[in-house]
Amino acid sequence: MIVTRPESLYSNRRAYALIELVVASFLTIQIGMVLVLTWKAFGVSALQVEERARLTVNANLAVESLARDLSGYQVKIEGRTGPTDQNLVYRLFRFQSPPIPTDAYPLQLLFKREDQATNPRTLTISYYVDSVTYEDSVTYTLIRLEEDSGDLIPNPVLFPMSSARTAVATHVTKLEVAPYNSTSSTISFTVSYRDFTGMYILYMQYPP
Amino acid sequence: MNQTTHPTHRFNPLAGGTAGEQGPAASQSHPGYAMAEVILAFAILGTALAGLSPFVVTHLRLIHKLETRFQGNPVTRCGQPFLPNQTNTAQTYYCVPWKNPRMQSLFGRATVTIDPLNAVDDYYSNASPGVYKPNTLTIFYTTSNTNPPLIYYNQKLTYPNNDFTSDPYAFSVYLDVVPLVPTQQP
Repeated sequence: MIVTRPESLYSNRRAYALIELVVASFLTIQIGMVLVLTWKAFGVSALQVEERARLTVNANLAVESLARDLSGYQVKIEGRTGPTDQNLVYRLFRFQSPPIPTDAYPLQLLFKREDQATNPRTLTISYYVDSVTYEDSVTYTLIRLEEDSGDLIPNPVLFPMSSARTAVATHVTKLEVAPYNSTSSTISFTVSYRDFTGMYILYMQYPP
Repeated sequence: MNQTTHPTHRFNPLAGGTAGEQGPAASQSHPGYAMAEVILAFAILGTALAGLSPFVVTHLRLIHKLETRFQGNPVTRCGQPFLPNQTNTAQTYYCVPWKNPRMQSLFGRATVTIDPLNAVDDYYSNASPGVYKPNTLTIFYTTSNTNPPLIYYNQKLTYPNNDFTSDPYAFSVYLDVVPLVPTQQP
């Protein structure tokens, strides 16, 4: 007598699980490859765009500030508006050539008040790189320091000595200034962010 | 054994049976269900990527425009030269002030250009180099007792209906006209 043993569900599932495993592995590899390619195509590009944008924006900010200070004049608005507005004055400070080389500041520009023939009030604008270390990370910032000598004559009380410090751009790691010829200097600064480093060179012509 | 399993219960071990054990009816009643899920998932992924690609391409084009405004010389990535666009050549930039002193004080910014002569600035000065050329709009007032002459001007802001809390709508410069006395220019 032949005893027919019904095929158990377990034996059927064993082969089915193997096929499922193969198909699932194949699909997993496929999906993994798609994800890796997608990351390389879009993710890395997006990260590079962000890094390059930081580099370029900070370089443009630095060069914009330099271009404004190298225009030849500084205009300061002093006083305040009132009923007759007699106190609002636009002071003109004229650039003095060439830039003053100092050890503390790579770039220092001197301006003198134009309408004072003797003992003129001076405006000194300096650029330097400031670094702050916090938890093993260093943050570099390009600083613009504006120092006003104040009015020596006739009214030192109304216009006293003052200074203002402004952060121009971040990630600027180095600033160097070298005389190029008698009428110009070379300003070079380096901007670094993550993997990207850019050196930017600007020939500064002294205002006439 | 006639056991039917609802599709929503297939992946729920609490719905009946043990985990990994399915009734034969479940796999036989929806044989293409898993494949349809896969196709649908890939379709959604493709649609998402299709929407992401123009976003990234637009940003790449924008950053390239921004980089060509003021290019680094050189730009490196992990120490290796990195040129976003191989057709770009390294540029030399000049910071050129305006030749006209009045433009220097009014415009407030030197031009950053690749042209050291700044062809846009067509101001012509016949003064010798190094000689101070007076501003074309400098207003000076002189008397016989003042040497050097004093630069003199006066201005006033005009408010609508004398309402000084509002924004002024006019800025006037008043000139005091005096007989011209021959003197040295500043």
